[in-house]
Amino acid sequence: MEYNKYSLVFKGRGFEYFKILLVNMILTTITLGLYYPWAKARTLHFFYGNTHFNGQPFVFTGTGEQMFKGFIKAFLILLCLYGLVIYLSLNEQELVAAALLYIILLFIIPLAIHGSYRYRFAKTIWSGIRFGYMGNKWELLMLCIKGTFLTIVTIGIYGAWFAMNLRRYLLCNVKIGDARFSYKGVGSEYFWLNVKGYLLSIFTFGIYFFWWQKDLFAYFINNLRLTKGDQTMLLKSTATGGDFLALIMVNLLLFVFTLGLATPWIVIRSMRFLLANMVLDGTIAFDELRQTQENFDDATGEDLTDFFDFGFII
Amino acid sequence: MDNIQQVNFFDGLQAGPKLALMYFNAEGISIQLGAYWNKEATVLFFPYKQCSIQQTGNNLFVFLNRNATNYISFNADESFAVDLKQKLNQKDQSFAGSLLRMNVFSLVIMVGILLTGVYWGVSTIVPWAGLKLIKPSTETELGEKMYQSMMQAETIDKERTKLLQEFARSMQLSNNYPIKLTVVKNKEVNAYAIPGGNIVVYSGILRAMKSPDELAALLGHETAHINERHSLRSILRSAATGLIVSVVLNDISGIFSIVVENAEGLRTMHFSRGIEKSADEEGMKILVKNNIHPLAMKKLMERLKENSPEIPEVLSFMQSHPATDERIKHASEFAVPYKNSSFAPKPVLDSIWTALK
Repeated sequence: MEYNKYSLVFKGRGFEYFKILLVNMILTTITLGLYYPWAKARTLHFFYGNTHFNGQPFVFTGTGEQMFKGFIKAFLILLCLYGLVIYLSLNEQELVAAALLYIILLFIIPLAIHGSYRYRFAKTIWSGIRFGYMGNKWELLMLCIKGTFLTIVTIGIYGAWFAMNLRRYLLCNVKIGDARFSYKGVGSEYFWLNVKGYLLSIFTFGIYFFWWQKDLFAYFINNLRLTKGDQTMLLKSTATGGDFLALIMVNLLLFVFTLGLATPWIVIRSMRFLLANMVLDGTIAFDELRQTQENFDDATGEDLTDFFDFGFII
Repeated sequence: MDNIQQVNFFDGLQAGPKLALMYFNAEGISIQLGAYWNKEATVLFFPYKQCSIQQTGNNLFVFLNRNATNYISFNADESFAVDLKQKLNQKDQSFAGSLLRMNVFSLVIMVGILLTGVYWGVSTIVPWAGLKLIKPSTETELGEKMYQSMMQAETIDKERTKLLQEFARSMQLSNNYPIKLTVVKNKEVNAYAIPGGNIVVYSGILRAMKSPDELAALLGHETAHINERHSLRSILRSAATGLIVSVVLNDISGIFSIVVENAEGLRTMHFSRGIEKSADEEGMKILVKNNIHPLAMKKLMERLKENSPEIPEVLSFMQSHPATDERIKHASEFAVPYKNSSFAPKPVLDSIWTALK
């Protein structure tokens, strides 16, 4: 087995992204929002296409049409849900309505995440090889119900374990061709990392915040790996707290002094920063990666997660 | 065939690039694996309408199907690159495509015009529809509830309330709203209207006034606020702005909404000045209808000015009853046509006025 160093770079330019945002804004406004799925497809296309691994770009092959169908379905689902809740509260059943809303959301959100992962990864291509998400929606649902219940019972403390269990489940089920991702972060470490970050940020009047961010990023990246048979690729973060401080402060200044107009450049420099601060190495021979994952066209989950406004979180 | 080119081909079965030969014509791209063209071997054909092109840095990628599992890549400096690029770019005739080819400056201007249009449209349509949908009777109902809760903390002067009500009844004030008056025991020189018909007058302002026509002018002004539905209008306006800020600007950035809100604050101030001016004018029309000289409005305002605490000139435009001088000027201008008309004395109003004092 040969030991390799891999490269992951973001090549997008702020100016180009700014233009895409402007065009999306124009079309979304004149279609009263209906253009949103196409706008999203264009944005994703831009970000994927400009991310290169070992010299080859990622490709997002999802289309506006697919996401528009999902958009309509997601809209109808939420319309029914909110209609029911409003109907009940108008008939003085506010408590029943609230309880029902939370219970239904507890079911819908995991299913939406599942759908979103299936769609997004089936539409992610690198070097002609499809990604895929292999998770089981009922397992994810049970994980979320248990996590939510324990988080409420422990007044939020279990949240750290819940977050890590969720991340581990989702990432361990992501594949690219015949290689599989895995994540080995655990709740206890994540919990103490946050307790430490929170307390030290308070004692240092917020200065430690940037080192806390660095730790969180490193905890995510360093615990992630890709395996193919007995070959492995490891990831490591090289960003320091000082790097994060510089990144965030410059972003903040850019934002304030341009009244937010620099947002596209801020997004681009952050992307560049995150990818530039990872080292990838290992023994996987990527040229031998095989196509194994199926295509998948239903974007309802993808659009539902958009309505809930939590985007694509890992 | 002399226009055969060597490219890297990705076959969608295995990740690594394969050496392949490619040529293209008017319909599409043909590809054969290997280093030498073999007439006997299989040729893969990909029509242009399934293909898309992407350039990153100096590398060109031509995706040969919609799934992007098959693609070729080559250097953008290759002699055939320009020709192939042109063939592939021709197909994007969509509106979005033509927008993307425009320059940023025009796009920024278009976004500006569109957002202004949306802002103008929503801030016109929402108040208009609201005024149509909300009936005066609903307004009266809601106004009455507001009145009840506001009066809980006040001491009502029952005797004067009765007299003032009588005073109002002998005037023609509103056709659409039942005008109800309340005198509150308070030294402040103030009076206000609640949507739907209630007018609250502080005993302080009654004490400050020196003639019954000033009181008539005050009632005219406050009634005009009610008749013209000024409160409802401003509530609807802020609702419309809130809607725009949350829908259009939400996903751009927080700071935009701060800018809009501040600009909106200034506009509201301007709007409230407009409202006061319009209430003065409508109030004077009510006076004329009741056979009272409109200059009473001017007198009222001068009285208010005498009784208001000293406010530096610079700040005067920021008051809620702004620019008294400007309003006085406006009232005198309005009264010019009535300079020589004679207005009959009003014995009923006079007698109630005496009782009130």
